[in-house]
Amino acid sequence: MQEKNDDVSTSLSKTDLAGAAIADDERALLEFVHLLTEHADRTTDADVQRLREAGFSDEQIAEAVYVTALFAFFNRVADAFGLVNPKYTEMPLKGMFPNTLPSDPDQVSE
Amino acid sequence: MARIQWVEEADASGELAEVYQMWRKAHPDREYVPDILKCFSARPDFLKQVIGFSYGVHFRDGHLNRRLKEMIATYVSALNRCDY
Repeated sequence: MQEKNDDVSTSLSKTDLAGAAIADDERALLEFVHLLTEHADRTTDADVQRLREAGFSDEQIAEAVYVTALFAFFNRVADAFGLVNPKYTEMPLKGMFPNTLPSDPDQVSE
Repeated sequence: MARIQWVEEADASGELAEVYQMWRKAHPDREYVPDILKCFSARPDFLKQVIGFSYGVHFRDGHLNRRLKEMIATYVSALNRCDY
């Protein structure tokens, strides 16, 4: 379980969405995230509808937009400041919840 | 060293020192304030808000669980070629 999740994290950190072992609905959401990150202005009603059909509520879709935008914000700031020192990978926001996610009792999937 | 000047913890005073201290109290397991947060030291009031909204939307379960949010964060950062 832990290993599988690490693999997902590794795949995503290489932008290998196709290779990530994730559920269909998660994949649909991340495809939307990809669109927002690279071509936000091309977002259409159909893109959002696809997520509803995948089972996401509008509140969930909205929150995915917030998180996507939040990290774009941090990425821009980090790039501008030139954060490259070794400490960087240890600590930023991601470090708060490293690869321990499946250990959360409420996060264990079937 | 950051490309744009920031204030280190040792040099912080006033409101900035308070915000750094607030972060450290909330994260006793961490030895230093993350560099990404120091980037906001030019505006301590904004830094405080940045901490507040990022923890509010990202680091808590909301409508999406944290696992999915973390997947979004990892993927977005990779797409932006930013190492986190």
